[in-house]
Order: sequence, then C-alpha cells, then structure tokens
Amino acid sequence: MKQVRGMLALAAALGAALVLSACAGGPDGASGNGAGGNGASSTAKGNNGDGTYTAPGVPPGPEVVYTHSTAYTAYNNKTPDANSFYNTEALSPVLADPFFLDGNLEYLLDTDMMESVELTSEDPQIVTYQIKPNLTWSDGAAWDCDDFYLAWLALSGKPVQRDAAGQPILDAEGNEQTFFTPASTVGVEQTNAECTDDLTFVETYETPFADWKGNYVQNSLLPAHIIEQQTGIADITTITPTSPAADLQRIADFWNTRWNGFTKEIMPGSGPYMIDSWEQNASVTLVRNPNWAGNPGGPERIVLRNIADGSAQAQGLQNQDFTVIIPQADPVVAERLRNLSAQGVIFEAKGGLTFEHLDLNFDNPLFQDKAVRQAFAQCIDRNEVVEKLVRGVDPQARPLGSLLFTPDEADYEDVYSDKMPADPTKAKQTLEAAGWQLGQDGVYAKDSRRLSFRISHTDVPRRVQTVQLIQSACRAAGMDVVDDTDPNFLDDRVSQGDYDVALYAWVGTPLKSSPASIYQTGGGQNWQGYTNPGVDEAWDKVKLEFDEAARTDALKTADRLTAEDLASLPLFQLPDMWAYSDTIDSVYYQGSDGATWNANEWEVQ
Amino acid sequence: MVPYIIRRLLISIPILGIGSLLAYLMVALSGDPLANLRAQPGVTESVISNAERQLGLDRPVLVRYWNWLTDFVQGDWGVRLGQGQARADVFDTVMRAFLVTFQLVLAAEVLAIVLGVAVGVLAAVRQYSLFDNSATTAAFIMFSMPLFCVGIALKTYGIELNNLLVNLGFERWLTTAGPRRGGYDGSVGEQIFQYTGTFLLPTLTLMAISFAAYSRFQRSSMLETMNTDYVRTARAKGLRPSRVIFRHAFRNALIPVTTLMSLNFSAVLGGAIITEIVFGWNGLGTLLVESVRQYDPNTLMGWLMVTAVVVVLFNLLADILYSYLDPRIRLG
Repeated sequence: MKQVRGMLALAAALGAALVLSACAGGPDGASGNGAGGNGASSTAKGNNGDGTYTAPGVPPGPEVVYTHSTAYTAYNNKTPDANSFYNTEALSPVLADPFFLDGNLEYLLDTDMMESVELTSEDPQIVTYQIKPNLTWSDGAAWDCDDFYLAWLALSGKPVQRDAAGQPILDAEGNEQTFFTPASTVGVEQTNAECTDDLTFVETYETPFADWKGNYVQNSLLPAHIIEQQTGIADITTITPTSPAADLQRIADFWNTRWNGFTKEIMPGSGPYMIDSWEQNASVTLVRNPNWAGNPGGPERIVLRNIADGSAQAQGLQNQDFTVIIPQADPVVAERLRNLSAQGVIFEAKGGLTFEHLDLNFDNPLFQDKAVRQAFAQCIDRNEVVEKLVRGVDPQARPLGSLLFTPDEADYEDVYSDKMPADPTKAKQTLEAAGWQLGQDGVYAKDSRRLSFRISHTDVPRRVQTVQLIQSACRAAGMDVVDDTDPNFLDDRVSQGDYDVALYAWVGTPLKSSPASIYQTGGGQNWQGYTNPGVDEAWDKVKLEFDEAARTDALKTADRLTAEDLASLPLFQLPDMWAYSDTIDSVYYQGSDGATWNANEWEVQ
Repeated sequence: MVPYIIRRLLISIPILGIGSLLAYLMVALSGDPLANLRAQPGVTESVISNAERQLGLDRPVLVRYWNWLTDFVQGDWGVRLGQGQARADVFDTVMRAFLVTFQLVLAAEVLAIVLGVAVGVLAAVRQYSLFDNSATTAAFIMFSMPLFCVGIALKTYGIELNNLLVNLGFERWLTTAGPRRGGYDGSVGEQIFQYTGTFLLPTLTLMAISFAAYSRFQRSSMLETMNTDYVRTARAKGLRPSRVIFRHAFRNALIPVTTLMSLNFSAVLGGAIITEIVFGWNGLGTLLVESVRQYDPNTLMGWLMVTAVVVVLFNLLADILYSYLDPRIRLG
C-alpha cells in the first residue's frame, strides 16, 4: 500500500511538472531574434519617392488571417460611438482616401484615385481636389466629388439645429446642437466646400489651417450615392447647412446610425478590398474589390479576427491559425514570440505614437516655482522606468526626449535629457539655491510649505509602478510624492485640472497642429493652465504656416520652449509589437492605421 | 407542481428588479463611457455634448435606468454605450455571446457530469482501492491547477500534436483560438474532424474542475448512502451488489450532486471567462468584462438578465429533479 501511494505521489508530481512547464512557456526553439526581427520596411512599396503613391503589382496570394484585440464594429468610423482604432484597421484597405499614409506617417498623394490635390491659394486658403475620372465603388456607382461633399457636410459640424426664429438650439452647456455627430471636426470646421464639377472638390478656409491634408483621410469618404438612395435626396451636393431641417435630419440620421456593423447593400468598398462578410464580435472578412482602380491586392482574402488575449494570439500564430497578430504590448508575450523564431515566426517591436507623460499643474503654487519643476525633473530616473516597464517588450526603448516628435522622425531632437539627468543631488542643489530647506522629516520646505504633491493617474498597473519608481527616486531628493490612484481620473478630474501632477498618455497623430490645444494658452485641452507667449506664437505659426521647413522650425521652437519651462515631462513611448508568419512579407505596424495600412502590398506564399 | 413553478418564477421578478437597479447604478456611476474620446487631442466640448445627447448620457442616472426598464419589458434591450461599439443592439450581442458560451459549456458539463458521477460511484464502491486513490489524486490535482494553466498546457501539447500530424502527412487537427469561421463543411467525417478539433481543448479545460467536483461529491454522497440502514438491509436480504448500488443507493446519492449541477452550470455559463480568454472565444464572460470596463450599463443589464434567467431555471430544474429522485419530496 505504501508503495502504491508512493507511486501515485510520484505520478502526480510528474504530471503537475509537465503541466506547469507547459504553462510557464519555456523556450520552444532557438533563441529569440530580438526586437528588430525581420526589419520590415516602413516605406510602402508603392511610394514613388516624389510624394506620391501608386499601388504596386504584387503576386496574388492566399488568405491572410490577421488578429487584433477588439472587434470591428462600424463602417462609419467617424462617429463618437464607433471611433475605434480597430475599425480603422479593417477599413484601411476598404475605403480609399485622397492621400495614402505611409509607414512613416507621411502623406503621399494616391495617384490611383487623384489627379492632384493642391493648395491653389494661400490667402484665402483654397485646396482643390482633382479626382480621377471613371472611378467607381465596388457596387458600380461613381466615386466622385459627391463623396467628398458628403464628408465635408458631416465632418464640418456646420449643419446646426435651429429654432423657429432661426437661432441655434443650445444644450445646457451652451454648445450648439448639430445634426451630424462626428467624433472630431478639426480642420473641416473652418471650411466651406463645393463641387465645381463631378471630379473637382474645392475647399475654402475661413481661417488658415496648415494640416489640411488630414481632412479627408482615415476612412472619411463614405458613399454619397447610398445616402441619396436611402434618404430620397436626389443630389447630396444641393444640401447645405441651411437646407430644410427635415432633409438634414434624414441624412444625418443615416450617417450617424445606419453605417454600423455590416450590411452588404449599403457598405461598398472603394479601395483594393471590400467587406465580404461579418460575424459580430468575431471576425470581418475582406475580399479583393473587382472595381478597384489600381493593381489588385496580394492576399486573396484578409480575415480580421478579434482575440483579446495576447498569449492566445501567440499560440494561435504558432499553431498556424493566424498569419499576423497584433497583441497588446506585454513582456511575457514578447518573450514567447521571440522564442518562436525557429518555427517561422517573426517578432517586431518599436516605440508607438502613444507616450506617457507627466503634466505639472500651474495652478498649484508649488509648480509656479520653476526651481521645483527643475528639481522634480532632475530627480526622476526615466531610464529606470523604461528598463523596468518597457524594455521587456522593446529592448531598444529609450526615454522620450520630445513632446512633438518621435525618435524615428528626421526632425526629432532630444530636448529633455539634459534637464532630466536622474540626479537627486543636483535636484537638492537646485532647491537649496532657491531657498528650500531640508526638514527633519527629510522633505524640503519653504515659507512653511512642505514640498509634497500628488501624482494622479488611473489604476493601470504600469502607472502604479511608474509612480512607485518616481517616489523612490524623488524621496532621495527631499520630495514627498503621494500616489493618487483613481480609476476615474481621466473622466472628469484631469479636464477640470483637479491634480498636482497628472500621469497619463497622449496619442500622437500625423496632424502636427493637434497638440496646440494642449500647450497654447487657453487651449481646449490645456488643463494644466500652462502659458508662454513664445510657445503661443510658435503654435500660431504651426497652424498657419504652409512651408514645411518653416513649420518644422516652429514646432521645434514650441518643443524647446515648453521643455525649458518643464511644463510637461515626457517619459516613454508605449511600445507597439506585432508578429507574423515568415510566409508573408512587408508587415509593419504603423501607429495610425495599424498593420493593414499596406495590406494590398503583402506578398503571401 | 405547476403552482410551485409559477410561484417560483413570480418571486424571481422583484429579485431581478432590485438586482438590476443595483448593478445599473454601480456601473453607470463608476465611470464615463466617453472618457477615451475626451482624451483625444482636438476633440471639442461640442463634440462631447452632442455625443452625450445621442447616447442619452446627458440624463440623470435614475431616469436612464427607468428608460431602460420600460424599454426592456417591451423587448427593447437598448444599444451598447461603450466607445467603439457603434451602438450595437444589446439583445443581439448578448444572445450571440450566450450561444458561444453555451456551446463551450454544454459539452463540458455533460461530460463532466457523466464521467464525474461514474468515477464517484466507482470510487465509493471500491473505497481505498487503487482506482479510488487515483481518482482522489486526480481530483485534487485538478482542483489545485489554475484553469488558465490547464488551458495553456493543453494548447501547447495540442500544437505539438498538430506538428506531429503534419510530419506524418496528415492535416492539422486541433484549433487553439476561437470557434471555426464559417461553420463546418464537407462530409460527415470531415465535419466531425473539424468539430472535435475546435472543441476538444476548451472542453477538456472547462470540464477539468467540474469533473473533479462532481466526482468528489458523488463519492462522498455515495459512501454516506451505502452506510445507511436500508442499504444494509438490502445487502442482508441477498440482493446482487449491482442492484443494491444502482437500484437503491445511487438514486438517493444523486440528490446532493443535483444541487451542485444546477449551481455549477449557471455559474460556469455566466463566467467561463478564463477559458474564453485563453481560447479566444468571445462569450458571456468576455462580454461581462468588456461592459464593466467600458462603463456600459446597458450591456451589463443584458448579461445580467440572461444569466439570472439561467440561474432561476436551473435552480427550478434542480427542485423538480429532487422530487423525481426522492418521491418523499413534494413541491408545494
């Protein structure tokens, strides 16, 4: 009996060891290939090198199964309730834009769709879109100026609900109630537009806007002929913001609510692919668009599936259930993927567009003292934060040195490293030179005020760890940093300026003027109350300057001056990571559109 | 029995009402569905206020609950409020998620019950034998292994099996993530191949802990029943051992397990979240997490209604089974 029990115990131990070893996920093959992976190119194959793009001819290939963590939900991704990055991933190959956004976030004129897009006048600013003739949607209807006009009507926010006296109806906060509810009106709100003929769309700006190229990209152009058919409006270009409310309401109701999910009859494609089928909360399938103007896409079919868990995605790739996976950045999953290189899996990681940062609240008297801001910046050890939180995914990660440029941009300059040396001794010297005195509790004080402040943030584990590291580093510099974890911090508190220091992330965009609302005096998202006339002047130039070189100089000036004021301290870029089978090439993750930005160029064996 | 059933169903209505109010308030007051939109550069207050108006978020929370309740009783479950969900119909969403989870859970629970009861009976009849000790050891191992670990381990070995099959000239069989797209096609044999390849790993994962629980419950219940006077009397009267076990003891020993079955099935249905995440199945568990994370009370209410109905029905089923298994029990 004892022998039997002993054998059973041994068998149990062996069984548990087998299961646990599989669960822990040891090396499955050769050692990992590092963050660079295959080094897929960020430059599109169809980049002609002169600011234009033409879809290249690629050999036809089989189906590609692409997984991401959230499902496709809407054909019209411009409404607030859709507005999802994951919809953009599905729609990038489906809805054509006048500009093709390269892997480096450079706008290239799409010569398959447009003859030209030109700034035909600077004062007043006029942009003329010249559409190529004979382009059609996948259902055979014309792709022409009507689609641009519909986009303008919806995205401008100009159709406003009015009372019997013709006055705009306001809500409780005094905002005008609009017919259309786009998620953003940036840029388009400053324009008036018309179709001078079927193939010519002309925008006239009330005030200059330098980022005009971004107005009708990222799936903005939806089929006007569908709205005409469904609402009984004969010609969309005859509808203006002052048209009868009933007409505007019909069109807006459709635009706001009917292009959700997938219905084949009302959701054609204008790009290299079109949506063929959709299983709600499971997958969306794209097939080649037979009416696409350019060279056909490589993959015969692209299936986008949503699998929330990164480990499940990784094992699915290993099991050849998937071809491309885009898991959320996670060091455990990254290590697992690196170890699959011998099984034909290529893993890549790089800094993304999203970056973590610390905003100092200028309404707090503490941070009105520049010495305090300097000392705080001097004590933070960003390298330690990056080492502990980011390098598990991207070993090449470095602290971010700019609020307005990413390291892979040619104009990137690190304007923060000299100000953030991770030196508590230097921080102490800065404080003492400004009259702060070290108290018996190890915390500096001045005029009966202790150097104690909160860092407020949501309960994301990464942020909790970031604050812990800052607390430890800055305690050595005589500062008492209090952790203010609040799961709802981003709901109201941050926009009401209810914090001392805010830790959260901004998402970068190709539109360089977007951050103006954050850093200009009185900007809609300048919640920290920062003001600097020089910075304001630089941002005015960024918004109005059409010359790229001058614009870049203005951006660098704004960046440098903001850094000198130490208003906002960049920490690190959140890494993007992706992996794919070695049967497919050219898979590169672009921060704005995901990895499907060049799906038509994929060559698949 | 019918009056009893009707009474039970009527009692559950106010309970569901109170539960729905509390759950709605907790989720609606815990955060803002538009928080992510607010944080995007360039988004204006006008955009936010118009979005709030369209989604009904500009009304007081109790008004929103009342509107939801009055719509719900008329069959309108509302739309999803989470950003990125594009106001998908809650009823459609919940029903799809329910079917996904139901598919996963049904096979696992049926297998777990059948095997668990069988092993429990055998282990009790052959107490302290090699079989009993093995079953006990296996049950405790399954209790102590985290479910996600079991799932990941099964997937790892499943991938190795697939690689072996390919090396031997066969097709890959086991799927490690998500249900099969587009259903099952081909001949009957091919469909069985596809079906088993899709369901085998998640079913084994889900049934592991359930099987362990059923086998332990059945064993201890069987042991207790086998030691009762009437069973001793039956043995003393010279009845065959199999007749004593299955005709006299087994039916009474099933009563405690019946309780466990009803509770377990409804619990697993509402929260097979770990298995769903590990295997990439978007069912009720992932829907629950999503709705809470996105502060979406409408979707949470849909989830709550479905799982509450399942709990009520399965508890009722358990009561009905009691009366069948033990004629002394009268429902009334």
